Amino acid sequence: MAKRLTQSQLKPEIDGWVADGVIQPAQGASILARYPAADGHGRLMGIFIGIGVVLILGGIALVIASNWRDIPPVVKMGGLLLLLATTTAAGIEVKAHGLGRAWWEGAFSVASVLPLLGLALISQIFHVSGKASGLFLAWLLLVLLVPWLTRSVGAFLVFLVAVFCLQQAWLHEYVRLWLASDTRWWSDEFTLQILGAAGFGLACSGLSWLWLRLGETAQATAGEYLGVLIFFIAAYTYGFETKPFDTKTAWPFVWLIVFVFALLLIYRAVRIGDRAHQLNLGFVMVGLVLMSTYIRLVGTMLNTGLIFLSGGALMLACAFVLARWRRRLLKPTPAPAP
Amino acid sequence: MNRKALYALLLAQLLALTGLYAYHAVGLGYPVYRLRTVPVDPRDLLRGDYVILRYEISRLPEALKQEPLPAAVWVRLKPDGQAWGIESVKSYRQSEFDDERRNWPVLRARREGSELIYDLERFYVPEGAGRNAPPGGKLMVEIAVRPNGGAQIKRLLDENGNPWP
Repeated sequence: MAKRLTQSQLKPEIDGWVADGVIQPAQGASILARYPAADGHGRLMGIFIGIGVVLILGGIALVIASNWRDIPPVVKMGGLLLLLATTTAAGIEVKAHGLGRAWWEGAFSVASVLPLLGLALISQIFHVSGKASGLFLAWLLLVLLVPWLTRSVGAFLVFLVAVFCLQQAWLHEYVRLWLASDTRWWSDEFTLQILGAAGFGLACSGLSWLWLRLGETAQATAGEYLGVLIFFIAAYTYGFETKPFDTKTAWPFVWLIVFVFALLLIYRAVRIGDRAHQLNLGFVMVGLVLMSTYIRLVGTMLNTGLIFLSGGALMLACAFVLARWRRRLLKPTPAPAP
Repeated sequence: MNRKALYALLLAQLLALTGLYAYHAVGLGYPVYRLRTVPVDPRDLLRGDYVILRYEISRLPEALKQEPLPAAVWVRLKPDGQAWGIESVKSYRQSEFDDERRNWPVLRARREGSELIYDLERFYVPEGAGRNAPPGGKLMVEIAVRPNGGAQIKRLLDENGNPWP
């Protein structure tokens, strides 16, 4: 949510418009009157309040941590359930009364993480050592409906993290063992996890668009970005160890796919507009693939000093060219003359 | 936003977590048996805030290593001095009609090669306490066994029978 401007912040801009003749002084005064004179308690007061809250919360956390062993298990569990109840109720009431989005987003995000802490606490109290996939499945089931009922972007991101954790745990604890049994042809754990992550990224970015059907663009954008980010990290990492294919010959194809995807992301961001974060990610990946490919190709041929020199020069050139390209793409196109 | 639905969801979350807590708390009330255990590696005791334990009953008896057992097995225990050892490992839960043996506990376990996993291999300790485990000493674990074969660690005892840590 955009932070609301105050009169003191806006006044220099309005004065400039009046001086340039864009608006009349009376219009400037009317525009200024629509904005608050000061930003609530003021920035300094906000900083003091923030520091105070952090200190109090830190103090409470330290007192609990240092006495953790002496706190009866029922009190620990009761405290966590109380925290879950108050956080969720606060989020519900704040949203129902139309107060700031940041407050209920924060409340629902925290409330989505607390069930995991509750499960972990039960594991700790009773020394339960089941499989991680069971823990993540339980967490996912407990928070499954939260993003849809609250329409909270934070809760949706927590939900995606839960799905991702469950997928990775499931691959590690079940699929890996299943592939390893009966001498099946391939069961490399790293590849399994990393390709699973890349697949999750693609699915996540694609399925997040379903939020648009519910009229929620923030969730669609956030889910899409997280998915694309996970895909890029996973696919790029896979290039280092391209099992079951021959690593010596397969890595250029993998990184080429990453490179092409990065270009497509840039193209799409420019076409759709208002996707500066995707544009940035696309440029970072283009630069990363170019640099990594160069170092991988010449790494064994040049001595270390030369690699550093030429790599540095290439990096500067990449940064310069990509920054110029990015600036040109982000420049707003002038409106056609009437 | 549907407030009623959200409050219902909150209630469901609270009930689920409370129910899980109660399930495990009740589990500690079942008959208790002692197992001999050692920390797996005294130099690598602490992973996070828990100690990894390995039991005498974690190893499949030599006579059964060649038997085609499934991944999920039932382990019947028998008295072995102050603790309990393995009497039999079966792919099914065998009924016992002998009066003495009827009270011997039967545990559910997962077989991974010649290892038997009971989900009793992790014992949470206060931060830093894992490094002070009795060096090379054998510990005794008290477990509560449910009628369905599930088991929970109740407490850990040192060589002198004192609770540890």
